[in-house]
Amino acid sequence: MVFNHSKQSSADHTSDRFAYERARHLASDDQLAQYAEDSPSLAIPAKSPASGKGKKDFLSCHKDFENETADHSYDNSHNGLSGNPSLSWVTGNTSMDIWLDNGKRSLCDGETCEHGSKRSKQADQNLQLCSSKICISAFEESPSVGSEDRKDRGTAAVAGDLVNQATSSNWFSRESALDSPIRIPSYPSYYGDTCQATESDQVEDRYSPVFDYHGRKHVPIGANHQADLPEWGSQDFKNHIRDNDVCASPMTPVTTSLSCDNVVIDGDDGDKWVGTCVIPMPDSAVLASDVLAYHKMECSCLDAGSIRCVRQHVMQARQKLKQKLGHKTFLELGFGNMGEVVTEKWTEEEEQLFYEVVLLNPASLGKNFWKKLPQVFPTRSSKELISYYFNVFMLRKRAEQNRLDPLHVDSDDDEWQESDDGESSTEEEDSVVESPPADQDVAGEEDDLEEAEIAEEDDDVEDCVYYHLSGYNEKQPSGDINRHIVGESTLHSSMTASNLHHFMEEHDIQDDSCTSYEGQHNGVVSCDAVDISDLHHGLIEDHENLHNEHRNDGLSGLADYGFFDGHSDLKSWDMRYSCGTEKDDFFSTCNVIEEVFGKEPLDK
Amino acid sequence: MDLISYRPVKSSTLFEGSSSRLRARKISFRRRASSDEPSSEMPPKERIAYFYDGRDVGNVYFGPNHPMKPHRLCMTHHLVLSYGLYKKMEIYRPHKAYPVELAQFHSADYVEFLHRISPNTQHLFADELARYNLGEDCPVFENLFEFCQMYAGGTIDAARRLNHQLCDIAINWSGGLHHAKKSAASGFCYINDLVLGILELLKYHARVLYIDIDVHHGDGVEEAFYFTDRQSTYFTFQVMTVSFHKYGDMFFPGTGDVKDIGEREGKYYAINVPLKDGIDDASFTRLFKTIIAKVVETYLPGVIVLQCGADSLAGDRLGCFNLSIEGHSECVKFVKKFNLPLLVTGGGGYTKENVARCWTVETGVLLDADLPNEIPENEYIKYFAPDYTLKIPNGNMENLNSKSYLSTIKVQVLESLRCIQHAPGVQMQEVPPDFYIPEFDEDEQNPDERVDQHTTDKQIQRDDEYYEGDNDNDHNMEDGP
Repeated sequence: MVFNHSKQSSADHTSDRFAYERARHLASDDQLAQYAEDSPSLAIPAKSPASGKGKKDFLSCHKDFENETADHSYDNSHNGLSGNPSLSWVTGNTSMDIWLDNGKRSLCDGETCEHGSKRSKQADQNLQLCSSKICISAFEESPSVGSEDRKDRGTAAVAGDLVNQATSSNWFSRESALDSPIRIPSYPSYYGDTCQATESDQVEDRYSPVFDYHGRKHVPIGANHQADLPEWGSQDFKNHIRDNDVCASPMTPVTTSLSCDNVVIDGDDGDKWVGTCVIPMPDSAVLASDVLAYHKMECSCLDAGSIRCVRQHVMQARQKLKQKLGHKTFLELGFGNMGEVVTEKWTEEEEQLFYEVVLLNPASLGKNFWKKLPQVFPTRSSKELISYYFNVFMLRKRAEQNRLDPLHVDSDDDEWQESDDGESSTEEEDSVVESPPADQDVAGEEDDLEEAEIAEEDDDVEDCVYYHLSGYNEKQPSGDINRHIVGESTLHSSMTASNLHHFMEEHDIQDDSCTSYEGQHNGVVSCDAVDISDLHHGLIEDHENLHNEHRNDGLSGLADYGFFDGHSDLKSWDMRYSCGTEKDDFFSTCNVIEEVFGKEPLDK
Repeated sequence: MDLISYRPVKSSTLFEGSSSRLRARKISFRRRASSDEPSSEMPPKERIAYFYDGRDVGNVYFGPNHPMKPHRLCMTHHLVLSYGLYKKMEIYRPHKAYPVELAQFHSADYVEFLHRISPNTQHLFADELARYNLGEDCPVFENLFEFCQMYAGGTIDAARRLNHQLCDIAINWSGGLHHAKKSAASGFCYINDLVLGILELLKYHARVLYIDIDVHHGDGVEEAFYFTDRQSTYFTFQVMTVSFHKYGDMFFPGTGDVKDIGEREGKYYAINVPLKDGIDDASFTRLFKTIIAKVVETYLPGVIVLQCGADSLAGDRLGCFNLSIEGHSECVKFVKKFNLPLLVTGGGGYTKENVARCWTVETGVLLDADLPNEIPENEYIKYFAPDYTLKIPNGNMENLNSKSYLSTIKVQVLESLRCIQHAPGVQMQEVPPDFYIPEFDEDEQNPDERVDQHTTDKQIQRDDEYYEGDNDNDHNMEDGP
């Protein structure tokens, strides 16, 4: 058993564990039990599969190459089936195909390299399901015969794939190629006994016997895994008692140079670090009372429900809280960094710039505005940027969504949406009809952002809705949609030229041309390459142009908006933008499936 | 005299002089950090300490498209405050855990690497990144180490306050990162604050019970205490871990079979309750209560650590259970009823608003406060559209956990627990009372228990039957670290 683990720790624990298990098995004659005990694990998917909902974890194995890999489980089951109780280690098999498939998909995502591994988790659920079923059913067909054949076949097929994969991706070669020899014995009689007959959608059902899971991952044992318990007596009781009402302030940090030998903290000092009191314990009368002074504020605003109204009430609530808590406590609790108030630390120009940067660097195009932001705002710390993003940017965006599509707002649609677009757009290259909605999301989102600004400036929701309605009101046939994708791509190229009219013209010219989506998509990408370098310089002018259009030039602003928002018909926008759940024709896009499964996991 | 009191502890009313083990145990069940003026009229209220770094902990970003969004902590905190819950608890800003503190569990090289690495330098450390499992699920982001220090500091501080009886229940929603391993990151977790908190609690409590209702298996904690290597002269210090989680379908992290029950001395002390998709409130809470009640009865913990990962809620982005917030918080309510010192942490939870809702409700549960369903005006009110309510509907999911499945699981777990009671060498009778910081009162102290002050300072109480040997040991330990 040679494990090619690149990780010290996993090598450690694997061998530890393994030795241990082996010892155990010597004493066991029950083969099944032995396998059950022994088989360590399938590859467990990374925790964040896709932008996935739980379902996505399913077979989207990507991470745990380090410790073990699924690939061999089937091989081992062959061995078991052919009566050979020993574990075999082969470098490829059928299940590897699934693996590689996922990897390939992810790697071809059109995402930037850095996203490769993350994206990899977002493999198309259908496909996974499909291939895993095939894989398993292949074994089920004839559990006791032909296993060698299949193994060989699998090995050959995989070997080729593996090479390709390994060379095509840093990630893959690091994670999987290096670590690939894995051990996954599985239960020999398993498929035959229990799974064969089941006709189930869920692979899990094939392993239905409650406890005997197909690949069981064992808890590693060894000094490198278990905690060292604190020694009795290592604590010094002398003066660690703190009085309740002394809100212990953190001691001056002992400059702790971390030495490997001296990791036992001094109990004496350690006991003093019990936090800084922000709000002391209330007296017992208050504690015992069940009354929380909580009142929803009555709203008598004429424009009740509008952004302005909500903002006003939020501010009122905030002021009230501030009065109750006192300024110092209020800030200590973090209110200084919560909500709209964060804008106070930003100039209007900065805010607009922020919007532009985010807008022009959607993750869907393989960009990462988080990389751009620090360059644009060299004086801002990352904390400030993040704070602004979540407290102001996202909240404003959400304010719009709440009004435009209240039933389908997605809780985590912040960057998730944008990035998923990218994935689906590449994954669906073969489908002209289905991919555009995904890309429209981008446009929709940007529109939405624009809208948010407009709304903030005008303080008028009605206007914003009006903008929307004034766009194309019909549902867009796919031709139109494509046109807008062109618009998208030209948007980016023309932005750098900072010529909105040119932009408009181009739009008109291409209005009728329905070039294939794929080509356009490539266009977008290539435009990006140029853009990235120029974006920076052109940013501000672009921005101004855009906003001038919006604000001052009523007619052209509208037209412009209509263009941006070409798909802005409320209904269609809704469907694509944040829900898509009910639309059958969208199901093949990965992100939509995720949405569906996340919301109604067993429906489809 | 069973309990030897060595050290004065302010305001401790327990263990005056002597008490039988039995009594001590009883007391430890009822023990609450005593308030200075216990009110006879009012039912005693728990003292709740809430830990949150209001300035920074939510302002980190794992990266585009990463489901873990620390901003959820801001939202939770804000919602808790906007419901006025600050009136019923004390709020602390935790210290940032020092590297040495983190290294109480984690290997020093790993901690040091986390400290050193930054997004700008990570490309220079490909090998280390791979070794420590950093990069994909666990990206290196700006202020990563500080983030770890903050959430770990919160849990450590919480444990310390519990240790010192400064509170009865300590809450750190930013903690609960249960996947982190001794020398590696895992599943969005870098530093295992829970293990650190438990280690802290172990300084004062012999038996710490860890309960985990995150949808993912609490593998990091289980692994850390899978067995206790220290051959104690006195008794077993075995942490018991109980995790309810989704298991199968290669669901992360892949461990947590009901058959994993611990090793060596720790055998039967790891309890796993593997579940399938779509488990609903009724099945979950019934199972939870049955098992936890039996666990507490059997193990007699001195303190409970409860990880409340909110990804077991219906509609979570990564989860696959079908719990409502009521069902989830019902578990918290149940654990609270044991009236034991309780450390509550957050954990997973990838649908931000629901995380904030859930933990706010659970803060309310711990405070015995009923919260109106309508969410009050607050900075993040927009996130709670369209209903602006606390409650969320259950998902429309099929429960794949059949009754027979659940009952098989239950039987297995209870069987394991019975083994604890009967296992030679780990009999509960040999386990000391939980509480280790008895009142020191020289006047009342039995003369034959007196020891010189120096020794006193170093010692802890323990059962009399071990007294002689222990004493020797303690003297030796004086020279220790």
